[in-house]
Amino acid sequence: MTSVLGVDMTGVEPGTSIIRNGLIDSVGLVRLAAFLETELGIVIPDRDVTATHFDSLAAIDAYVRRRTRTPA
Amino acid sequence: MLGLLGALLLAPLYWLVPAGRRRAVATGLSVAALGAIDARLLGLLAATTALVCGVSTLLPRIRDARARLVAVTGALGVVVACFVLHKTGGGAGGQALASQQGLSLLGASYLTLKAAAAILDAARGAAGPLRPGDVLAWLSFFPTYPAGPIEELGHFRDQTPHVDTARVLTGLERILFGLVKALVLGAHLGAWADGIVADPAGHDRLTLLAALYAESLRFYLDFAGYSDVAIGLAAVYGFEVAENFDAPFVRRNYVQLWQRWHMTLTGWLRTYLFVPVSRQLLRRLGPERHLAAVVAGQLVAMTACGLWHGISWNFAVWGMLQAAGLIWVGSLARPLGARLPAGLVRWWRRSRVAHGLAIGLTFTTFSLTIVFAVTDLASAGRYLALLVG
Repeated sequence: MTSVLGVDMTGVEPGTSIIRNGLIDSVGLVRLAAFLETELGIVIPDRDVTATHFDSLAAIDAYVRRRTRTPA
Repeated sequence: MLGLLGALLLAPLYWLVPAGRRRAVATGLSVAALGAIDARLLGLLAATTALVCGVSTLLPRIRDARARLVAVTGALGVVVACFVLHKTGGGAGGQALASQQGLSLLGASYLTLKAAAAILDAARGAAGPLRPGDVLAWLSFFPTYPAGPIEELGHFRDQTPHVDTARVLTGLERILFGLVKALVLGAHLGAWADGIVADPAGHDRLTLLAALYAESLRFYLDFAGYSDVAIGLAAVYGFEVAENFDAPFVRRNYVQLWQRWHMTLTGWLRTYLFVPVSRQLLRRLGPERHLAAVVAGQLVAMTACGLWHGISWNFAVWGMLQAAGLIWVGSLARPLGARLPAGLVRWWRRSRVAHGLAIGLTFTTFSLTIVFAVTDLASAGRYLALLVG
């Protein structure tokens, strides 16, 4: 995350809102989605690139787990 | 104001309606109120509801990709054409906020965004066939119809209106705060600042800068005040509506400011323009051209934001300047910061003085650009020349 987004994620709890706390913005969302698609071989539809799925490390983890089980 | 007063007077009767029927009654009241304000709105609502429901029903049945594209493009074309007519048709029939001028149909700008969202969701398979009753209730909901917040269909549709004393009192308090913000503070600031922007010659630089600060605050008070009224009135009728502003002028950079300014609009722009445009370009250009993709995405989204406010060059320039600010913070400043001395970066991020400076710098930048939202291109250029010259 730190290398992809270029921000210091030290001390960020799994449930901390990384959008409201300014650690990630729209550009970060796009960058993170591209990274996850490339590294994990999943397809993330545009409609899923939202705060609902990317607002915390826990939310991202849960989304990725769902995505790896479910085809696009 | 008359609409608000009528809605508040009718509210006690509405509370007597059984919970299961409140949505239908709220829709009936909303449609009746809008029809009383301007009978043309009834036709507009009916046509928009039919278009959205028609597209959401037909699209899943169309297997051919090109035919789907034609259907979606055609439906969006109708929506955009109506929007352009609304924005360029003139008249004062569409004014909900003091800062809105020359619109022809009340709430049509917001209706356009809602309709486009529903069509694009249908195109992306995010929504199944929609029921006309749900769509009409969502489009016409009186508290949010004239000037937002722009509710998401799912969020509005899935609510069961719930009325209790605490919610009603909170709603009434919110309405009062909103009216003070918009009609007292915003209106007075606007009246003072508009005079200076209209005739800047003869004023010193400090006054010219103060007038731009005042215009920024005026827009905030006007929009946020109206949002308070809408959210409060919705609460009186038992509905929860999305928040629209969260102290945007005490944020330390442009991205944070825009994350808290007119949040339902920026959410719309992010979901339906920035993300799809930048991701599409990213796939075509490859990860090494990431910057070009997000720059293009920001330019498209924020220029559209400007043109949504007004179809003229000054609003287009205003939108592009917002994009430039977002690109600077989101894509350029961070890599540049990595080249600065670590101590300086640490000070900038942690010091209270730096925090205050950053807030002031962000607010000043926003205020300097707002001149393009309040006057034409040539006048804005003259104003800025007087300010710096």
